[in-house]
Amino acid sequence: MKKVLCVVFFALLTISSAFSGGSNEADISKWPEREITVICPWAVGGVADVVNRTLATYGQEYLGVPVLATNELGAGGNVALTNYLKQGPNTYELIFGNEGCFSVTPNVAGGEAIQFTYDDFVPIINLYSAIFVMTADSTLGINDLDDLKEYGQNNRIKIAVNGVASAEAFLAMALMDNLGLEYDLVSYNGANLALDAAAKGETAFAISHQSQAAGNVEAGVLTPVVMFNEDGVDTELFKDVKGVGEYGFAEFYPNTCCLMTRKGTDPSVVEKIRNAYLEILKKPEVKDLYDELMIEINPMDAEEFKEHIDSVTAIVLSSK
Amino acid sequence: MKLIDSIDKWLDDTGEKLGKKTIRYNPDLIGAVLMFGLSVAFLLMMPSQIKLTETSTINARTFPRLVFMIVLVLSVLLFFKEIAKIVLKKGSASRELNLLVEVRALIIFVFIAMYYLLLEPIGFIASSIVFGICMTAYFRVRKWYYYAIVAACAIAVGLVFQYVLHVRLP
Amino acid sequence: MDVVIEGIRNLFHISNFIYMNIGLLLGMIFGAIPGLTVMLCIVLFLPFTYTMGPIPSFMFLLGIYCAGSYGGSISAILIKTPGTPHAAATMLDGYPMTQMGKSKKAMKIALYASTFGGLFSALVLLFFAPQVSKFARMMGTPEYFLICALGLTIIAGVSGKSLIKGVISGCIGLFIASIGVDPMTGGTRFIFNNINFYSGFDITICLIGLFALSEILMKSKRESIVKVSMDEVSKEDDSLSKSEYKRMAPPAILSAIIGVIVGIIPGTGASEASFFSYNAARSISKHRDEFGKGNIEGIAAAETANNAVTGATLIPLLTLGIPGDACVAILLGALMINGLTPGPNLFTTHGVTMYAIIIGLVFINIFMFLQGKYLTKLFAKIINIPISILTPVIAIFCFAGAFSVNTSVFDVGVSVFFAFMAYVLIKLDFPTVPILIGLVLGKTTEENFRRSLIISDGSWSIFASSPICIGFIILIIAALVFIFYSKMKEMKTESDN
Repeated sequence: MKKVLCVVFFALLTISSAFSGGSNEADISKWPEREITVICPWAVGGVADVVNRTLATYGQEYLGVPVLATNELGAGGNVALTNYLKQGPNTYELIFGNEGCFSVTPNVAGGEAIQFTYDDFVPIINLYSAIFVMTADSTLGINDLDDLKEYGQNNRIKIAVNGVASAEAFLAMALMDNLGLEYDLVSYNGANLALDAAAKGETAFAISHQSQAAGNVEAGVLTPVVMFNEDGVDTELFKDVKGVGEYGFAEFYPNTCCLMTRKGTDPSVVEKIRNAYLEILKKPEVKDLYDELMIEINPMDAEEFKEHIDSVTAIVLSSK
Repeated sequence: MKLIDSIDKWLDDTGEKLGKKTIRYNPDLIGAVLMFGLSVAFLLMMPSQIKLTETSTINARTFPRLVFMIVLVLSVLLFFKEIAKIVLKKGSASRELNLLVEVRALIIFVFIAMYYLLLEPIGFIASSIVFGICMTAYFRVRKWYYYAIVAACAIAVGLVFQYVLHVRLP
Repeated sequence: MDVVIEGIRNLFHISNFIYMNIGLLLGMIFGAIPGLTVMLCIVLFLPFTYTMGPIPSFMFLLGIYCAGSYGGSISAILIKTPGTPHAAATMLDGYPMTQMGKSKKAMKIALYASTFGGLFSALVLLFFAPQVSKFARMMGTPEYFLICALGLTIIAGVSGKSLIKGVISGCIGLFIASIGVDPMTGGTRFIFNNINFYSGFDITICLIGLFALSEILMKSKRESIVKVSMDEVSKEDDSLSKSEYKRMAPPAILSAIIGVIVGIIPGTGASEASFFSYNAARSISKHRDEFGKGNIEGIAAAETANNAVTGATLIPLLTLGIPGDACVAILLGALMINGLTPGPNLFTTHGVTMYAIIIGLVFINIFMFLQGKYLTKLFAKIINIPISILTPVIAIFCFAGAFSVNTSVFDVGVSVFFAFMAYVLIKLDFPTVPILIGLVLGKTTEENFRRSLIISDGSWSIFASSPICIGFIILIIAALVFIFYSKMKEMKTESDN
């Protein structure tokens, strides 16, 4: 009786061990064999998060497995990127990265504590490019950089940003330094909260994506001041808004969102994911979403993304 | 079954012997000393653990420092309050540690720790079955179907998480 | 008005009600099982909603959210293990009632209170959203700090006999909350170069260790849960008398209002609401000494508040795109996927869908009540399950739940460590609930404090810069005076004896 029990017990153990999730994917040609998770390291409901969740719904069609979108928040993306170092090559978890993580954060104050580097990741495809905009509390009547400079002569400028070591925070710092104004960056946990702070008059200014500010601009609560690009924009909502390039400043760059995997991943795996997402980006529903979010399709590959990172790093280092 | 009976008897006898042994202690004094030690240790560790990048007076160290200073002061207060009670014979705090209860707790803790350590080597379902059987055995259960129920629950939880909820358990 | 009628018409499809009830059931189960939380449920089932339209997906997700708020109370009451953080306040008086053989009554109160809170909140959302939104707009960073500071004074109320030990426990919680990355500068704090500490400790992991796993260690005492005879338990009369209803009415109404106010503030949610209300109920109660020993007002207050948050938290979410707590943040993602961009114009551009969802919330609470009534009888049988089966099964759920939060085995180890820490603290007579309060409030309090000082260029006057701020300061001073006065009274009674 006891012997039978022992045998059954060990049989159960062996069978159940078979169910245990080990990561021994030896056959690369069969990748992916189970669901893929894409981690967005930024705010829930933000532009990257919405893009992630929407594109993930088409994943099964092109990759043959479900693609799950998830978030991992903290320190403007640093927490998720640091935790990602625990992943191995050919992992089923992918992550987003951008110039904020690789060009700005390591090169600003506190950067020595960063535990990851660009080389720990392999870029697969950039999902979009977007332009940041600075908006102001509409009661201040600030519509361009000249108004801003005038305001800044008598007031210490408070700018609400989504994390002090982020891509947008650097843009704010560089602009203020170029204008020779005194400022403080006030960190919030998400662009929506930063915009709300500006709308309430708590800080006078905020930096965000255009679509995030759209609601407040439309309602007349915030006014756009400047775009962080060469030529500005002129759309229905953002009428005749100049770009920092037009004032002769060089510190601007587009915001990107690159889908990445862990270093050492087999090139065929990278190719598979890239091709799948290229197809997804062609879908009309995705194009509509991008129009609504005021972002552009810009499927940079690894080389192009590295160039982008290097150029932003150069901008950051030169302004130090 | 004879083996199980003799194990049971040995457990009962040991239990009785341990049950009679108690250790008296003053939770307030020990607590105060422990908290004092921890707060001093963390205050000393603070410069190396929190690097300052800002120049403002209120910075990344402010809150943790404030918190540990409060703990420091309160643990000293607690310590002297208790000493005063002892000296003035006003009824100091006193608790009893029953060795039997503590040994049992230690055994449960060992099972839990073992469960945690086995998660990666043998997987969630297998380690849950092992843990479940150990815990049920700890309660000195003789009915075999209790063990079967616990094992079945372990398997069910593992399968639901893995295949329904898509959570990759180890 | 047409919009509302059109909204009702869109709501009344059988599929919406089916999804609603599935969500309610799932929420109740996840909320009730220690180790599984509402947040986990929403995260795991969110992908299923991508193919549903906006109304069915919100009926499903809100069903999970509301039922989860109630479900946590079930395990808190029956096995002293809160299924969710906000059930910890319910546990304080719920579990003693179970020990007295009154578990069915306790669960009935929890259900009625939850339904009342949820309906109150849903009706506020339906009729007063614009006004409440205006009030939310008036709250800024210094106000958020002061409300958190007020929250910290609750530690005194849940410290039990020793205020000193309670405050120390609270400080432990505050310290643990600061481990990881500094939210204002991005620098690291107390991570000891260990990558696993980088993201700090998730509150669910701590909850599982502090309350669920530590409770298993306490099973070493081999006491049965119920301290009265099984005969008395089976004869339990769970009906509530008129006088009991009368007793619960004031704390319930007060808690509903507190829950709504807390709900509209970003960063604070059901946990804060339930503790605030518990404390407030204790202050206004004529049976103050019974709190912590099985007082029905305590359960009523905590449960009303944590469900009153549900509707109110949608107000800043829908009007400003600002989530009230982490669970609701996920709902923000669901909104965006369905093309519903939050903002001042949401009700004009998608009025029909919005009203359908809001009216649907009223029905969600009604169905939660119906499901709860039926399921309570089933849940009450849990205490009949032999401890030898119940204990390992709870532990298995805890391990699965702790792992699922971040798909990390290390987190399970953290839970185990917290269980050990809680055990040691209990042996030294330190209360563990204040640790939870410190954990819940720590980050938000510090962030808002430091942010306020940056905004004001270091001037502390920002904390008295608005009527709301001054109001909170008065409340904080009143709370501290009350604590001091109670302590003095206690010490006087002790020395008289």
